[in-house]
Amino acid sequence: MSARTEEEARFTPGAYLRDRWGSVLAWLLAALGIGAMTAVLGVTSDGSLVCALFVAVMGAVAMAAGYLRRRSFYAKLAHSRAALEKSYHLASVIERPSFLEGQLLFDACCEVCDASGNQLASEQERMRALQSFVDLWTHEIKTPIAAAKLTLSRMRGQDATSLRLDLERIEASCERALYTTRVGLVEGDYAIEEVQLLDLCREACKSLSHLLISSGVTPRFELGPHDKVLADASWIKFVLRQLISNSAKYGASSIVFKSWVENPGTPQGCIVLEMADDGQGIPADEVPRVFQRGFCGSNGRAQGSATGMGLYLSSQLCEALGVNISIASVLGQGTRVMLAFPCDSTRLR
Amino acid sequence: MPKVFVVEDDERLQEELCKLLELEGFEWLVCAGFEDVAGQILDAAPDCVVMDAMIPGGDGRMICRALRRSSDIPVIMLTCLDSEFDQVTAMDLGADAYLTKPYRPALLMAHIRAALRRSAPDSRSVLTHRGVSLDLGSGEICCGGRCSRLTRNETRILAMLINSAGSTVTRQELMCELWESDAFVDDNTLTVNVNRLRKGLASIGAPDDFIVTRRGEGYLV
Repeated sequence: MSARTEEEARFTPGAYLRDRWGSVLAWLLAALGIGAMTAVLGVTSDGSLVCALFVAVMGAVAMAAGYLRRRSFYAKLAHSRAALEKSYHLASVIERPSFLEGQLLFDACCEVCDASGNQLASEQERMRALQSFVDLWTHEIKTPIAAAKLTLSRMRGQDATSLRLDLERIEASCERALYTTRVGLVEGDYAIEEVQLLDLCREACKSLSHLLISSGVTPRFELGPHDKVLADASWIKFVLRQLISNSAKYGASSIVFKSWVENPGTPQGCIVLEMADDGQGIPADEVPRVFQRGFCGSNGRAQGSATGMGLYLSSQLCEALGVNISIASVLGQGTRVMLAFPCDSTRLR
Repeated sequence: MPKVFVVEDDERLQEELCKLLELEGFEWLVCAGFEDVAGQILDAAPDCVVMDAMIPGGDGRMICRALRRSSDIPVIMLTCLDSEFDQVTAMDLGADAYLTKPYRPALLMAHIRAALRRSAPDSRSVLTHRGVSLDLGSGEICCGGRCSRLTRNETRILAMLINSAGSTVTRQELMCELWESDAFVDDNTLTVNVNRLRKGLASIGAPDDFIVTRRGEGYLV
């Protein structure tokens, strides 16, 4: 990779000659030398010229033969490098050349490609094992959480109330663990169906009711009962939960859910779901970076519990679903997050 | 009392589910082993079935299909998997509702009640406490022959207080209960609702201390 910082080498006749300036110089000197020597030995000037030209032509033929011998290999190499998506397959698409330097390079290249291919395969295997462990783990943890919830539902009072809040947080963390390992993997198990936005938003708020109520946040729904979008319900619910818990964490007292249609009847037509809160807002210079992995803004650092994963995961999931997520905020006044669902199902990935 | 048949292989979950059902005024039955579950359910003739989608030696969806051949008893499926495929097949096989773990208990109870209402729409349930009766269907409260009608929110608040008679119910618990029925009230609205409920109770001659305020904690009947 470090070689990339220099100008990239190209196999052209000029470059080939420059590379062999020593030989070129030697042939030229030989031609001149022969010419001079034959003149001294008493050959006519025409005879000396013919001798010098003969040596020069021999030199040119030797140079051209060397160039042509290498050209087809380097042309194939350059073409394959440009065409290949995964450069570690390079060794398997080019043939071993007939000249020495090429053979040395080719053998080294094969070794590197094999090693990186093997390394990649073992990393992928490890990743798959980790993924299936996390899947199994989040699957298993659900049963004791469900049992604890049932136990708590028979209990009343302050202690039970605060335990319920803790359990809600445990559940949210487990869910995040699951999606963290899933995101970025081969886009797989989502199912696009028609979902009702109102139901989805209400359900997301209910699943965080303890967090919202204890932080004094009240949701308001200004959605039509018929606003339906094409999406994966559990993924979108996960995204909504990240957004809602952010609002609750950062000082909101109300969250308003709204929806409208943009560019109806055109291929760009989409249904926009807006979540507007009246929380502390995000400083303008941080807004463009909120979807970056691990980015904790000044708000998050002040709270100390931010991981910088919630919005990153949300944007990744939205991208996989073909949903456009955007954020706008005024410091001290609140934050609006917009999710744009394409109306045209062929635009969904 | 409506009978609910529980098919759940996790012992702790089964035990807690049954306790909750009992508390909510249902009779419960569990299956004896996981052999011929469909046959056991048909023999017991419950009013509703709550079933884990994955049980040892069988698939809840197959049991559901077997049940549907001879009965239209409501079935609520519980599962850990939330893939769309399972949901669709469970519905195709005749399950009435489908919840993923860890479900909210209130949501499960709401589904059970809704399923029971569909299969036996005329079942009325009335709660009584210290001479005050509350009809959960109509929201009518009566005390010593005098009656009044409560709003939906007031009915839910009073029902929750009476169901937990003797223990303090926090304001947050009451709010969660209201949110569960899509009434996303804030703290002030809850206060207004409780005050109206008190007035309603006073108007039919219920004792003044019917609802006790525990300052900083919640309410108690």
